[in-house]
Amino acid sequence: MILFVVILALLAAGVVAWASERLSKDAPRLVSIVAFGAGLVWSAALWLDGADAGGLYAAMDWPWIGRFGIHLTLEMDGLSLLMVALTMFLGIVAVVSSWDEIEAGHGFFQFNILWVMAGVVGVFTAMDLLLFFFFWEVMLIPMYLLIAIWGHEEKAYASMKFFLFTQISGLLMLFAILALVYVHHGATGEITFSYKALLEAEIEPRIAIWLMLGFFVAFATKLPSVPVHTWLPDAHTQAPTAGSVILAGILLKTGAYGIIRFAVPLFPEASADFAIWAMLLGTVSILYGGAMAFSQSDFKRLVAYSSIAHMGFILLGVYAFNELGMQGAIVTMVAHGFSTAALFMMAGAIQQRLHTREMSQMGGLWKHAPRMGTMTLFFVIASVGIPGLGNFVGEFLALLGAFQQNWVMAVVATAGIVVAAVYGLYLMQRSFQGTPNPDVASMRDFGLREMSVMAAMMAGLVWVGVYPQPVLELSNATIQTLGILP
Amino acid sequence: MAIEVPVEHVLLVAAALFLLGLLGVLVRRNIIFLLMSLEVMMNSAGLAFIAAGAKWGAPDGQIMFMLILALAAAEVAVALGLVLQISRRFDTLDVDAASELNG
Amino acid sequence: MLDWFWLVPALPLAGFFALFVTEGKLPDRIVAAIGAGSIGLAALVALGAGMEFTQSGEASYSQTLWTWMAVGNFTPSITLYLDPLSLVMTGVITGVGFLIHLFATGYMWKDHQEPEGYSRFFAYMNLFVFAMLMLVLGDNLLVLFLGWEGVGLCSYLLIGFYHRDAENGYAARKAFVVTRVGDTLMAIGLFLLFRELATLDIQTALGDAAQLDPGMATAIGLLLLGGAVGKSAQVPLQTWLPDAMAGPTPVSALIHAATMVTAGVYLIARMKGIYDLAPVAQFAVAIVGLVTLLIASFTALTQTDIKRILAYSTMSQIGYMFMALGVGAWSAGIFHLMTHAFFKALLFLASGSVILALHHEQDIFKMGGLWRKLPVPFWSMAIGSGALVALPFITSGFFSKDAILLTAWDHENAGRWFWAGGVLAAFMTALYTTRMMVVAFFGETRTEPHDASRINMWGPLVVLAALSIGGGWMTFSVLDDLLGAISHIPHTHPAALVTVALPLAGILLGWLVFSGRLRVGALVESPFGDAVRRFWQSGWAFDWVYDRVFVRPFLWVARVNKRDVVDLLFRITAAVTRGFHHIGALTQTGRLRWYAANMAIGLIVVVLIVASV
Repeated sequence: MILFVVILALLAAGVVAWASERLSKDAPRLVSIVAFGAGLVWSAALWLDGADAGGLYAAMDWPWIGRFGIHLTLEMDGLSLLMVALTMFLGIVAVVSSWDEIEAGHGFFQFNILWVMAGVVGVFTAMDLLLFFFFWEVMLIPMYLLIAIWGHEEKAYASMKFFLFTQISGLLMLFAILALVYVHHGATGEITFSYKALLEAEIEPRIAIWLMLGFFVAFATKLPSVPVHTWLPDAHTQAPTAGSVILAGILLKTGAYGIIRFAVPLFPEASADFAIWAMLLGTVSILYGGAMAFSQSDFKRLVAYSSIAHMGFILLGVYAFNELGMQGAIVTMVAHGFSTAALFMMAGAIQQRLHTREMSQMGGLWKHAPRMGTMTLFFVIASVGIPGLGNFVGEFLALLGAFQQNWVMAVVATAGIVVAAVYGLYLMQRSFQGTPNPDVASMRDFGLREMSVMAAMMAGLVWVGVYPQPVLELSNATIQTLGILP
Repeated sequence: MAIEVPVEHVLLVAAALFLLGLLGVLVRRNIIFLLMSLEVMMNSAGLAFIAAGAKWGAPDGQIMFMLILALAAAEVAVALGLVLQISRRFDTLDVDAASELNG
Repeated sequence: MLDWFWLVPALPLAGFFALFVTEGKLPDRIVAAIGAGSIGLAALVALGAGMEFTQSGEASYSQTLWTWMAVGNFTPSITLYLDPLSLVMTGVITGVGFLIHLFATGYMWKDHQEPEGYSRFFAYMNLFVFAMLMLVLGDNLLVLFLGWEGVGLCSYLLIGFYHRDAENGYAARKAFVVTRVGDTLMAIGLFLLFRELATLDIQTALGDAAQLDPGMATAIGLLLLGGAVGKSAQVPLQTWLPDAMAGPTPVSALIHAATMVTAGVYLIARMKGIYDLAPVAQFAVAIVGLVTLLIASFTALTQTDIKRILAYSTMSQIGYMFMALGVGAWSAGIFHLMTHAFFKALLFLASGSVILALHHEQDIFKMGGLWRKLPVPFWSMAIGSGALVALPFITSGFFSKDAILLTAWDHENAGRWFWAGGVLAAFMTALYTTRMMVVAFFGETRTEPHDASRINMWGPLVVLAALSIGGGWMTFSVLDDLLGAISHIPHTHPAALVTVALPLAGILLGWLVFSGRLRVGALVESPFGDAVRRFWQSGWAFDWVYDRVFVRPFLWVARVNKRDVVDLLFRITAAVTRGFHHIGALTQTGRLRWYAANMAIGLIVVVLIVASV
């Protein structure tokens, strides 16, 4: 019940934010901040409150379209709670990061942000396959609008590309869902879209592999994995800062979440057969994403490609099929949410100040903005994977887990941390270090508003880096109940 | 005593009229001629209806002809409005000038 | 005191944190007090705890702070582990570290290159000391790895401290990336160790090491060696160290001489239990050491930058340590690590004083005649050089190096070769050290010095000079139980006599040649001599080869693939779709009569089809 209320509240807050535009241009974003802040407090309260005997923090189950066995089933277990809390937090970050950037349509902008996030919360809690697909689509449209309306110079191309990739791969998932339900119906005579019921479905291996692929392609596109990653650099680069923060911080994680929650548990045998290929995709993503990041001269595009590399660790970890790898993937999801969101926020801040994303137009910015330099340095270091910060824990566990499963793949993927150092430090060098660019006369440094968000993200990364136990315990409960580990 | 006209003859006349109309539509560029040709085509269809109605002794053919007449009147009313617009906007009655909807 | 042992790493961390959150807004004097004071306090705590520990007679002491993470059977904890080995390392890090910090408070004062950087400098330095302490105190290889990566990060930050100069940034990135190659090997070693023994806890792993398959032990040993080679600047990952001299001189003293670069030696000594099972890996350690010490000592002879000379000398001295570990002189290797920390820190700090007095002039051929004008730096350099060339019986370097070479002599496997190589390099060491001293401090004055150093700068020099001499007189026996006693060969043995005599010969030859008493110009200027000189000066062309084999191909790929070749697939799909669109759009002429004709033709076709059926 509460979950449904939260989603409706986010949707309603979107409408309120839109309407409140008449009052002042600050009103919509205040509505957003209050909504996400309340959501964050609510998820923290749930976390502290602890799970019930079944490992759930909240649950509801209402009939929706009875004839087809479709229910409004929303459940929140450890993994969902972790992701929802991250969503709420990054919601605040997104709003703050676009504070000065948006010039027109404040109300509709916040409306879209809130609606994306409502869809995301739905995705993270839906336990009915059709409901899941419904929310999957709910996320898509507002995100498309965010890019298409408030994006940068090539927004039309980027938003269309984003839309087509997600939509086509989503269609495959819809086919797979319908086919799964059909197969289940054939076996039991019962039509249901319930996740729990379909977990029990027995599917011929020959069919299972295709259905699994339907899900996998949708999630791998969202993740994204090489070779279906090419929408991401365009979408990230062209999106407004809030859009990039949400895309990198949360929307990519829905792909990872989908793999962990649906693609693997629904088709355990098929996934096990497929594991080696998924790990290969992960490894290729790590290396290729890293190499591509190095090639870029656009600050935002570089960070976007680095996301692809980081997401490779998730594929590698999940398909290692052991606890280490799975936990590594989940910690990576959280840590990447912080570190990349911060870097995108930085990219947005620089673009707003210098009106360029090209690193050749930067250089020596430390002189003007030491705070921004320090922050960039910190998050670059986190993303390079220095121990003591969250990304290291995730990547180390993922690699450690992968090594138990397939050492060749793990060894090749480990080389990715060298590549990460190459592009990460190069980014730092070209933007903030080196000879100050004479064309840049001055640049406003971060103020209190930006720094408080940055400090929160730094604290998050250090926390996950030195004491990830609370996160691990939260996700461990889910991993055990999913029953995908041997 | 009416002279019995074989229905085939009437249909042949109708077909000839139709072809003449179609030819007019295809070759004339003046929009007024175009409309007139359309009228001819429509009337050829009406003639065919009447012939068929006479042949089977059913009133349906004549009813259809009434309908076509009404349709033609409405069509001319709309079309002349369009013609007026075209002549104002393009300063010509050449129908090919109004080809802005090309792909 | 032992209960408070956690303060040793915590104090530098607190110092870092204090300097980090105040964003450089503190007055410089307070920054200096925090920066050097935190290390000083840590040194005091370490001293107290160390004394209590040695008196307790226990073999080890450990203090668990918290469980880092717990995933299944992987439960690394943040535990500080104190045993004689880590005690020696802690002593060096906090003790020498404090002296260097103290020196730096003067060296970096009102630094004209980076006037606002005082606080940032000490923040990085404190963070480094923290990371280095975690490296040596970690009871778990993952904690060790935390320190390992942490020191690499601080090394990067400090090499690139003067970040406005793009070349420094390049040197910093090179150092980080090259050592990271080693770190990657080490990480793989950790994965393998965990797969085989299901733990990364060092003591547990060493205890269970006997279960290891010999091949696996060798693989793990070699992978860990890969990590050590990167961090300790040994062949083939040594190329970053000379460039790392771009950092301020105290950084070179602390990170690139006394502590971080010896981390590899520490790692191998710490994992002795693995290498005992893997003679092949241990032999590889010795070979790496031998090759490095030879290459580096020849290179040092041709450098003109005083810091690069010292950098190559550091490389070759660490080569001695590796060789020591490889031939089984474990304690002697660590002993040399300690004495080297003293005299090399001294050399770097003294050269730092000289460089500062000459307004950042580092070319020895632009110095000269300084011995009268800069007495404290000169005598410090002289003492440090004496220890570096191992002047017999009075300097600390002699005792440790002698122990290594004579153990190598006795090594059953190619020991004579190791001995010969080591002695040859010792001869070269004497030669290049004499060259550095003679050229920089004697002869005519080429640049007029302005010495403005105060007690916070020459005080550390005096203390380190005393340690460089006296550091070897005490019997170094704390490691006997853990790593085995240092072997003592009487100095009447012929090998021992040669070992003692060759460096003296080197000094003599060096003095004769570089003071101009012995003319060798013809040899040096001959085409062959010149080619050799250039080859040595380039560091045996390693940089050239790596540039061609790794850097350029990578850059080439990056350049040609900027647009992402994979996207081509989707761009082609889009282009094909658009092509069909254009073909379809051709029929949309907008001509009414054309449409009508089409309709007519279509109708006819339909009628024909219907009629023919």
